[in-house]
Amino acid sequence: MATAQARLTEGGSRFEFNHWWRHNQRKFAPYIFIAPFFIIFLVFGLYPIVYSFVLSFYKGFGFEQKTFFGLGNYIHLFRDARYIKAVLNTTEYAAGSLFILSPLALLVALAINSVYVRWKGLYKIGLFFPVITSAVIIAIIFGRVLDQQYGLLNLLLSWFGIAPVAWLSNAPVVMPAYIIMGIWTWLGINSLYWLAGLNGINKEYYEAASIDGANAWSSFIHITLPMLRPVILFVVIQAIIGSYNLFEAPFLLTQGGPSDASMTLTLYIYTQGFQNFNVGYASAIAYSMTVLLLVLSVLNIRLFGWKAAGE
Amino acid sequence: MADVNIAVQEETERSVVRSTGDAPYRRADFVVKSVLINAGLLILVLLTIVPFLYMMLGAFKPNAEIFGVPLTFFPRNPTLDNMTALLSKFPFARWALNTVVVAVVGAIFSVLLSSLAGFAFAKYEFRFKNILFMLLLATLLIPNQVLLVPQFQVIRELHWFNTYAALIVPRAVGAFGIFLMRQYTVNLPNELLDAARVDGATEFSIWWRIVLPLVRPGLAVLAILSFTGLWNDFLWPLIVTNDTSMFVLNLGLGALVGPYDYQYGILLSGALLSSLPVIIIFLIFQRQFIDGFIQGAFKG
Amino acid sequence: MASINRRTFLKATGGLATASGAWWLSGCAPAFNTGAKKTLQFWAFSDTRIFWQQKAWELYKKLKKPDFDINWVIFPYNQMHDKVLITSQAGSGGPDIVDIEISQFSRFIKGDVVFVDLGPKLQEMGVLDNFYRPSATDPWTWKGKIYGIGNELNTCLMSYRWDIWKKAGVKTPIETWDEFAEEAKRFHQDTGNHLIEQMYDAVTGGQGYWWVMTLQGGGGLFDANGLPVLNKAPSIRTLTYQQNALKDGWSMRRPIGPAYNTALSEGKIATVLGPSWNFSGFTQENIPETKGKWHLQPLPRWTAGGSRTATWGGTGVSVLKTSESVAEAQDFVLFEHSTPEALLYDFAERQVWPTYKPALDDPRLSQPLPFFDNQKVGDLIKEVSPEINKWYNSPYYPETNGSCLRLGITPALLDLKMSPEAALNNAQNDALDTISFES
Repeated sequence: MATAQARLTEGGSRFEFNHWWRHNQRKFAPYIFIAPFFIIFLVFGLYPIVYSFVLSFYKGFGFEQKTFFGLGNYIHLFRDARYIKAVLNTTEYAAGSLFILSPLALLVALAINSVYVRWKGLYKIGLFFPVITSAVIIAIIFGRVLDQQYGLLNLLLSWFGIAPVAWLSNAPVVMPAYIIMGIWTWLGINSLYWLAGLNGINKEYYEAASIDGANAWSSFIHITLPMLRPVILFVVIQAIIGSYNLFEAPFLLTQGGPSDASMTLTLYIYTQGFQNFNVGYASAIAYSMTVLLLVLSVLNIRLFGWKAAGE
Repeated sequence: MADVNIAVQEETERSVVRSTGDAPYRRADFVVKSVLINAGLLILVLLTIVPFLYMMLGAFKPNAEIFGVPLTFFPRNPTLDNMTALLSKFPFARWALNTVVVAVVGAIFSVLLSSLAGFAFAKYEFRFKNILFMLLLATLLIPNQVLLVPQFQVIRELHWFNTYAALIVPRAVGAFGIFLMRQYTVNLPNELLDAARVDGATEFSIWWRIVLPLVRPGLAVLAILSFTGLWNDFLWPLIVTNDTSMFVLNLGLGALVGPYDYQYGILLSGALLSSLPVIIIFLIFQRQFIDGFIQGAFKG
Repeated sequence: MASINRRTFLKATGGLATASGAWWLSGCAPAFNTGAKKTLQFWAFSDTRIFWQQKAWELYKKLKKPDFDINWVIFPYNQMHDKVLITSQAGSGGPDIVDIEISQFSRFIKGDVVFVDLGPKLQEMGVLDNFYRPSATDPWTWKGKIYGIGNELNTCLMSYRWDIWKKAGVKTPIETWDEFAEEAKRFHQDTGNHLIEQMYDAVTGGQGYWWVMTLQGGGGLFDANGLPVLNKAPSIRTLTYQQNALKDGWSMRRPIGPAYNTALSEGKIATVLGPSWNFSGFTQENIPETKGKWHLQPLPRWTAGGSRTATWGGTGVSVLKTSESVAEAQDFVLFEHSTPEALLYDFAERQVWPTYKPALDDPRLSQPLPFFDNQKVGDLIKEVSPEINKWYNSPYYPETNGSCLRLGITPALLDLKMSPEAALNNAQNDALDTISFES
């Protein structure tokens, strides 16, 4: 009797739970769904962000020895010649991206989009290879391209009568060398961004314009460019953010040299954080980079319009 | 429709081509422009591909030829020595295995977690929803570099150095993934889900059996981006793996690059073998890849 | 009921799968070398350097029949040391034994030292006093503990292509650096080649020649307290000499990579400075075709009665505390450094003279060397070694070295209008700044 009763209750509570779950799962399911993501996100995303911020106010070697330093790390940034060099180099690289790569990619997109070109797929695929290649392999390839004696680039230049350039060992040309590498790497995907944008422009605008007597240049200025506004914003921000990530090539090929001529921000963070283990200072550098990127993004959104950002 | 063509040229001059008259003149003009533009594009494609080919062919050249004068394109004395040296002196196969494990498992992980969470954000109301969403949004502003040092510390606390977990887990979650999947899920008709509920389906099975198949394009995008990102990652593995048997391909290759060039043949063959899988997959799934990158960018 | 059960089932299996997956993944650091023996990982950055150690290992295996094996891994120089440092921070992973270059050692003494103190075992073996301590253990000693041991007696000499010098009529031996400059000018005028080149930045090899000539002249990088002395007189004198060499045209900056080897081989650069790992090890490895064409002489003096030699670099071997086989590792490392037969392998390979006195007395070390046209180099080394000036190590070696290269040497040698004194002042201030910032 007792056991049967017990069994009934036991089954009953389970039944109750299932019943309750059936009714309420819709309410609790979302929490369960986001749980795995957010647990990991908390441990590896949020906590590090906060910890890094706190760390940036400390100095010392490694994670154990820490002395509070207030704003000392941030103040030191302004006096740190290597940091300033890193910012300048990275900016130079970003400028190359913005003022050479992006317009070139636009030209390529316009060309591919034009009626003169039939094998669009071939060009798209051909230019896309570098995007899926790892930065390490690109660095290796460009080690061979940029070599002073036995490099492909100098070989190419020699066909035009230009003397070999010491791309990787001469300070003034080392960043331009990386810009060349950057253009080679990102031309494909940027062209595709522009292409996607161009495809989104209604052809009727052009028809109307041509009926009104506008020539191609005028259509470009007054129709294409304005309608590409959101894409321009996107490409610009991508280029800037991407430029700040330059690490593998200067790390492997020139170790930031000669004499810091190819020191980039990410490389400097690595240098301070994992070669010198000044983890507090490295965190400060990283956060300063965040501020820089924020400022640049806001500037660009201002430039190209809030509406463009919304789209 | 064929009457009106829009033509755009690589040079700054642009001319709108009208369909009326001028037929023979226009044709010659058309041909010239066509040749020029195509030539220009072809040159660009060649400039892109030639370094790749040079690297691949270099894998089969002896060192003396790589550093010889004059530079040769095709190997004059092709040799397999570099390959054999690579495979025998270094645990290359092990590196490849590690990379495959990390990239595949990582992509699956990322896709599952992101779509599950994205589904929750898209189709449910719950407390904290807005706060959490804002939180995710805010983290988009923070670049990866901020995380390097503290994530290293976390791995240290967890004693996860030299493990697959360290290479996969931190990279499996990102605001981008959730936003992407949410975008794809939000547009699904609610009636579909409600109908399933009426039929007695559990929330979980709604996700598993109804939502997932419908957001397949999104899953593909995320999978491709995750896979490629993990396969090509270098800086993070550099920091968290010290054991040569746990290296991924990129790390192994990076360890071979140095100012001492006599390893170059081996290095190039390593580069060849490492880039080959992704290139082959890319060539097979070209459209998905390209679409994936573009979609991912614009929707994100 | 059925759907709930299925859901529960799915959740359960999902959860189980994830949990076991996570457990497996987190525990997963499988050893690559399967097999009964445990394998110690030995990290190095130069394959010429581990050559003798691998031979020593064969000897060890024959004599002691150990139950472990050693796997040798070579990394690029910077990466290898970075990774060992990361290991020390991580507390796990990394190698068992590692080659630590002299200038990198200071990075590991800032926090807890990750290396095993070899002192006790050395005492126990009774061999501690049989070493030339300044070369063997001092560079890797900190606060009285010996964290590494080196086999290289790095007495510096000047190695020159006697065939080319003779043909051009260059005076030998050269007594002073001023004399050298004169001869070099004439040589350049007559042949268009260079008697010697200048090393100038990290990519080409750094401050090596500058260091040698400065130490020889009574200077160095640090004072007894470990603080930098980059702008003292000997440092400036060396840099001025080097810059004038470029200004006057009789010298050139070192070419990058294999181009340097080619230049040496063809005689476009006719002299090499440094210890045996350079004049012998490097040259034999990279330009073996020049065998028999070199002679050695002491360094030209700066001033009458000055030192004719210096010491440069050196690599020692350390055992990591994070290793699971500390005893075995230590046993091998100390064996190879105190066994003359083992040490002589390095002499045979790179003409490295050992720091272990019993080994140094071996007659094989004073034989005529064919690579140097049968010169009895060992005698020369023994003759000048006592003239090596004392020098000091410091925890701030990389910072100071970095400042010296970036702001001192490289700018002065790239921009010939820059004053060496100004450059070195900049370097000194930068180094002091960095040091005070970090501590």
